[in-house]
Amino acid sequence: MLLRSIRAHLLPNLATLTLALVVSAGAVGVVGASRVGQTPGAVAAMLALYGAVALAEQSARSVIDRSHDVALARLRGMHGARLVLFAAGPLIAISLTGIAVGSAIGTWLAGRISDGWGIAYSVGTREVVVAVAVLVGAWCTIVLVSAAVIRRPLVDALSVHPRRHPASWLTTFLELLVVAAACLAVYQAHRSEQSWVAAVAPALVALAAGQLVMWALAWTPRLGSRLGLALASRRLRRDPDPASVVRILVAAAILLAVTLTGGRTAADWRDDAGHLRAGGPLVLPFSDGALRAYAATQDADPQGKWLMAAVAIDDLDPARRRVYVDATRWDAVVGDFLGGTSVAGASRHMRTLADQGGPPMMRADSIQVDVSSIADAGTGRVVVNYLSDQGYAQATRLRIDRPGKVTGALNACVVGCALLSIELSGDPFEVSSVRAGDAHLLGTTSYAGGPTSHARTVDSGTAAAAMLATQELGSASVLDGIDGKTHAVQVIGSVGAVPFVGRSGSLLDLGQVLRGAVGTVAAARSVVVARADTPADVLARLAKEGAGKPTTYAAVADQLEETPSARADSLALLIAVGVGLVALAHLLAWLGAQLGRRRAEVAGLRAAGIAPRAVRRAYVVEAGLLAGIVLVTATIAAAATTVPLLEPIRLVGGWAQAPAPDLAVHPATLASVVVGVAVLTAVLCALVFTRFGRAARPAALRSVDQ
Amino acid sequence: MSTLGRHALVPERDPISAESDLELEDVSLNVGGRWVLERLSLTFRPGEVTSLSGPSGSGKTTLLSIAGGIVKPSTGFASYGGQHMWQGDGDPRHAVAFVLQVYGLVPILSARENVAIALRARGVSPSEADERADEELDRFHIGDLGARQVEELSGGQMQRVACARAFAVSPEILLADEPTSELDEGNREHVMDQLRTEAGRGAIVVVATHDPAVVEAADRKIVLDEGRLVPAEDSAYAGGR
Repeated sequence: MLLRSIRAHLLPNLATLTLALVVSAGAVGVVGASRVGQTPGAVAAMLALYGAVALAEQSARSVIDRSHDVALARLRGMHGARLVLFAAGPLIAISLTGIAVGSAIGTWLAGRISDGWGIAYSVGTREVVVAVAVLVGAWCTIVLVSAAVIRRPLVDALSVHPRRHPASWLTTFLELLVVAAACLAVYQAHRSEQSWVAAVAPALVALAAGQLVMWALAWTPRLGSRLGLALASRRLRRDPDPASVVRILVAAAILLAVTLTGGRTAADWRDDAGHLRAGGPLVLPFSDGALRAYAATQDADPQGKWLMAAVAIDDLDPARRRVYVDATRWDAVVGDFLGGTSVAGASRHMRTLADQGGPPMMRADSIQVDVSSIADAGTGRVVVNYLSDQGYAQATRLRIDRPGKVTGALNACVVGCALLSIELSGDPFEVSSVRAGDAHLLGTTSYAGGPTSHARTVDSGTAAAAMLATQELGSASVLDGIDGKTHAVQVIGSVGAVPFVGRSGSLLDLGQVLRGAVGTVAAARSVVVARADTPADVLARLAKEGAGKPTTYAAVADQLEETPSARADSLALLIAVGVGLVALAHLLAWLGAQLGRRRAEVAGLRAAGIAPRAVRRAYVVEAGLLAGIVLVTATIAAAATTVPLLEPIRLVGGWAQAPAPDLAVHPATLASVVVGVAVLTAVLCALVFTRFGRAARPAALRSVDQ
Repeated sequence: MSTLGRHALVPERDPISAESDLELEDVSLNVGGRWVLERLSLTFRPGEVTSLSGPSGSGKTTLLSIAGGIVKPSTGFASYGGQHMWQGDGDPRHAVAFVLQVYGLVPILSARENVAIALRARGVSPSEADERADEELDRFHIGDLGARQVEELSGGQMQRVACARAFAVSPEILLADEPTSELDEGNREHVMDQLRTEAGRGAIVVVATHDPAVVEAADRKIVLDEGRLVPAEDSAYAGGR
C-alpha cells in the first residue's frame, strides 16, 4: 500500500526525496568538513534553514495532494494513529530514505573535502546530530500537515472542485516568526561576537525577504486586459503557490548572492593579501642588512630588470610600520605583480620617490687618491668613511706625503658599500680625485690645512623624505629611519596597503634612506624581491652575494588557502550549490504540479473559445512576468542585504595585518545570480506551462470521471 | 415560460440571421474497443430545445461533444452550415457554446472574468466584455458575485456562472450538459426559461439531462441507451414520471 501510494503521487514524492537528499547531504557534509577543518559549522544552518522551509512546503503540498485519499480512508472508518500513519506514512518513508541517503552522501562529501585539505576524516557525532535534526524536523512538519489534512471537512476533501484554504494560524505565525527572527539576527549579528548568529542570519533574512515579496504579491493588482497578464496577476493574487515559489527563488537568489559575493570577496582578499604579504614572486632574505641587499641587486642586476631591494620594519605601532623599496626598480620588478592590489596606486608616485637619489656605491677592494700637490715634508691624511656590505661602518685612512697615486684597502666592499664621508686633514695638499673602482668619489679638492675638512658628506639631506602612507598615517611629518633615527617626511600620496606589513604603514625609497645611514634596526627584514622570470644565473649570483632561501608567492598564497576561513569559503560554495539545487527542485516540483492543473485550465479556456496559440502566448507572458518579478525583487533584496549580512561574518583570516576585505556588492556576481535564477524560471516555466497537448482539449472536461 | 418573472434581466440579443440545422450523420464512436455511440443520425433544428436523456453511460455527453466539435467521431460527422464541426484540434467553433457538466471555469478568475474571457475570445473590447458579463451574471441572479473568485462559489453558483459564460456569447449552438444538476427548483426553471429564450432567438439548444422536469420542458426529446437511439415512448427517460 505504501509503495502504491508513493507511485500514485510520484512527482511530488520525487521532489520531496530530492529536497531531503540535498538538504541532508549538504548539511551533513558541511558540518563534517567544518568539524575537521576547524571552521564554523554554523554555516550549514544556512542550507538547513532554507532547505527546511522548502522541504516543509513541499511536504505540505505532497500531503495535501493526498487529502482525497485520506478522506476516503476516513469514510472507510480509518481513524487515530492508523489514519495519521496512512496520511503521513509515504512521506515519512520518503523523507527517511532521502535523509539517510543524503547523510551518507554528505559523509562521503566531508571525507572528500577533508582529503583535499590533507586532513583525515572520520564520522563524528555532530554529523549524526545534524542528520537526526533534519529528520525530526521533516517528520514533525509531515505529521503536523497530515493532522491538518485529516481535520479537513470531508465534504471539502472529497469535492470535485476543492477550495483553497487560507493559511492556518500556525503558518502565519511561522511566517511572522521568520521575519522577526531575521530582524533580530541582523541586529544581534552586528553587535555580538558569536559567529553562529552571523552564519544563520543570511538564511533568515533571505527567507524573510522572500516572505515579504510573497505578502506583497498577494496585493498584485489586475495587470492589463490581455489574457497573459490578467491570468498571471490573478494567479499571483489568488493562488499562494506561485508566490511561495517566488519566495523560495528570491531567498535562493539572496543566499547565492551572499555566499558567492562572500566567496569572491574572500578570494579577492586572499589574492590581495597573498601578493602584499609575499611582496613579490620571489623574495630572498639578506641577513647582512639593507645595504647588502641593495648592493647585491645593483651588482647582480645592474640594469634593474629583475631585482629590487626592500626593507620591511614591521613594528607593533602602525605609525612606525614602514617599508623601504628601491623605487627606481619598482615598476620593472613588482609593477605587474602588485598591479590590482591595494598597493597598486603606489606606482604613479615611484618616480618622485626614485628622484631623491641613492647612496654613492662603491664596489672595489681599494681606494685610489690622486694627489696633485703637497708641500715637501708635508703629511696629509684622507679618511674615507663608508658602510660595508656587512652593515658596519668602516674607514680607510690614507697617508699622503707626496704627489702621485696613493692606494688604501677597502674592506668588505666586494658586493658593494656606501660612501659616508671623505675627510681631509694634516698639512695642506690637493687631490685631483678619489676613486674606488669605477666610482668617482671626489673631484679636485684643495685642503688648506688646519681643522679637518669634510670634503664630502653623504646624508639624507635637509629636505623631508617623500613618503607614501596608508590613509590613517596621511598626516605624518616625521618617521624613524632605517637606522632608527628620526627623519622629516612628507606624505606625497596615499596607498591602500603596504607590501610586507599590510593595511597600515608607510612606503619610502630605500636609496634615499640609505644615504648616510649607519646600521639597520633589529626589526628590519632586508630582502631582495625578484621577478618570477629572473634568469637562473642572476639568482645564482644573488645567492653567492648572501641571499637566503627564497620564499615564493605561491607558498604564501598556499598558507592563506590553508587557513580555516579559506576552508569555510569552500564550504560556503558547497552551501551555494545546495541552495541552488533546493531552489531548482522546489521550482520543478511546483511546475510538475502545474502540469495537471494547467491542463484543466487550458481545457476550460479552450472550451470558452480561446485558441491554444493564445493560451500558449498568455502562459509565455506569465512565465516572463514571474521571471521579471524574481529578477526585480531578487536584485533589490540581494543588493540591499548582501553587504549587511557579510559584514559580521568572519570571511577571512590568516594575516591579522592584512587589509580589510573589500565588502561590496559585485555587480557581475549579483547580475549572474539574479539573471541566472530569472532566466531559469522563465525558461522552465515557459516550457512547462506551454506543454499541454491532447489532455488539455475541451473534451477532457466532458465529465467528472474523465 | 418564466416562473420567476425575470425576463427583464435578459440582455438584448440580435436574432440569428442565417439559421441552419446541426446535423449528425451516421455518427459512431469507438473507445477502447467499445462502441460508445453507434450509427446515430440526428438533426437539431434552430429555435428548438432538444433534450438528450438516458441512463448514465448511455452516450449523452459524448453525443454533445461530437455535436459541438470537441470530439472526433470514429465514423460519420457532425455539421452545421455546411461545415464539419470537428476542426481537427478539438476546439469548438465560435458559434458553439458549452455548459459543461464540470463547468470548465478557470478557478483563479472571478465569475465576471470567467464570463468576460469568452467574450474577449470573440473580439469584444475589455470594457464591453465586463459590462456584458455583469448583465449575464444578473440574468442568472448572481450579479452580486461578479467579483468573487469562482472557487469560492458553491456548486450551484458555479453552474450558473458556466451558464452565463455560454449564454454571453450569443451562440448559434448551445450545448448544455446537465445544466441544472446542482440548482434548486426555482433556478432550474429559470435556466430552462433562458434556454428557451436562446432557442427563441434562433439558436439550436441541446440539453443532456437526467432531470425529468427539463426533459418535460423540452420541445423535442431524444433518448439514448448504450449509444443507440431509443424511441421516446419506450423509455422511462422520456419525461414521463
